[in-house]
Amino acid sequence: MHPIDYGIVAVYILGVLLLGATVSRRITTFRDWFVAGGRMSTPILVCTLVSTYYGLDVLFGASEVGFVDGVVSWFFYSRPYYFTIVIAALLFAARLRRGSFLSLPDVVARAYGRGTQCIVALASFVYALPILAIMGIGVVLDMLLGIPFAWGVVLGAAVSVVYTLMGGLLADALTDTVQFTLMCVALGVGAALALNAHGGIDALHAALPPSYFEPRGTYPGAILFVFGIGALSVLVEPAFYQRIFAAESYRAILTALGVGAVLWASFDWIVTLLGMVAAAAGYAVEPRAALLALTLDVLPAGLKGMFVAGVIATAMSTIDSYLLIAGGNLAYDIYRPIAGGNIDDATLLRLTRYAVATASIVTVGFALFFTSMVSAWVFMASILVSAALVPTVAALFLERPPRPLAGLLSSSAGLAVAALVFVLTTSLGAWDDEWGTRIWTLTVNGRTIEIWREYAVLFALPVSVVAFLVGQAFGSPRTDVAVADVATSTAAVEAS
Amino acid sequence: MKLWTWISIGVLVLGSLAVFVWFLVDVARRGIVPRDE
Repeated sequence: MHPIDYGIVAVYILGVLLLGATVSRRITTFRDWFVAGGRMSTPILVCTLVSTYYGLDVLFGASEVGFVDGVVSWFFYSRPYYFTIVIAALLFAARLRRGSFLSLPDVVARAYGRGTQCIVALASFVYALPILAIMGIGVVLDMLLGIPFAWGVVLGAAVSVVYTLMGGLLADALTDTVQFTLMCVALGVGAALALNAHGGIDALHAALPPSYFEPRGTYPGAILFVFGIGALSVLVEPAFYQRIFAAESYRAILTALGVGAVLWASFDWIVTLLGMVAAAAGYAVEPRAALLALTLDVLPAGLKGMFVAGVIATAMSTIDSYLLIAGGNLAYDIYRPIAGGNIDDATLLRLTRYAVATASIVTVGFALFFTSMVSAWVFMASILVSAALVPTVAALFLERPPRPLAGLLSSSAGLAVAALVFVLTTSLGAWDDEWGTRIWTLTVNGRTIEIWREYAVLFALPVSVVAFLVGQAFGSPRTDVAVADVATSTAAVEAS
Repeated sequence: MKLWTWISIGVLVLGSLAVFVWFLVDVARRGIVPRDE
């Protein structure tokens, strides 16, 4: 890279740190820090929603599928998410805002009590640890700036943690505005230059096999179904919930999700296409590195620095947001109820800051420990959907209050079954090079059945529904003492 | 496919810049944390 490019990257990193320091002076309460005081405007929401949800896993993951299989990446890997985003905006957001919650586990705590709250908080914590994003930033800094992987991981995490600790969600969201613009503009310009350099769309048709242009690609139907089910994670996505609670109005969140869905769809299409351009141009690289290699080849000095800053921004906007959520899960959703809910606001703010720092250390530890994290996102999303989807939907949509035992059984059974399928497929299954996952092959009555690691959610969700129904049939109606207890402690935090 | 690709590039570049300008105008009008109106 040219010195100008290094300069752009340095200015970007110093800029986000300065912003964190400036915002920290506005933070006086836990609510200010954790949900920006519930006063976030529509444009900030658009930027923070788009940039938070799209990390390096999307940038490299979707381009990898585009590079290897073509447009199936957009049609079956990305498109189901837009439908669930519309459902979340139209059906979930209004109900969530009516409840004046601060986090996803708050929603189930209000309906079922503290046991379910802790299980959902644990699933949310596992989901929120930004392991892939931190590993991604290590790889990017290693590839582009020659910084050793371990130092890159520590550096990326340290910068994100410092400004998140200082300014909470507001600092996170304000840096997201710059990160959002950088990542979108860099990708759009990079795509235009890459298409121009490699003969445009016509050259793709000439160079790639027809299966690259088939919406279903070459995937088995069951896997396409699992991709679709994966999109349900949007309905219990802790970062979405946090932003719904942080929005200044329901209208703001509705507009932000609508604008965001258009930007997400464009982003996904361009990422898929860049993977295909790299495949057509004959790049002999790891599929995951195809987008980066192609874009850096075609961008001139200056724009290259902007693109690298955009890639780092893509990772950092994910790291800071999810560390905030993981920290909140530890301090606000797990420790606070265990401590009896009577923690003053200043202590809660201090404890959550410690918890964010702790979550970052755990994440860096995982990122350095694992050499390969393929399918890690499937694992984390499956854990969250299996434990949280059924009790959350029931809490929001059932007319009569559900019974506490139903929430407890549903969340714990969902979590246990998802974890069990992962353990069984990992220990008894064989690694499949073609699909990049573990497959456990069983023979029942002469028929061969393949259980992919990705199927965990297909087993866990029905079990979670059945467990919920059993809890509804045999559990006692909730005593309003326990529920009022949770409501009072949440209201106390809100009021402060 | 060609049309969708150029629309997507346009949405990404112009759309994100438009949202950023919207953010700056909103901050200039109402401050970083919006005041009650």
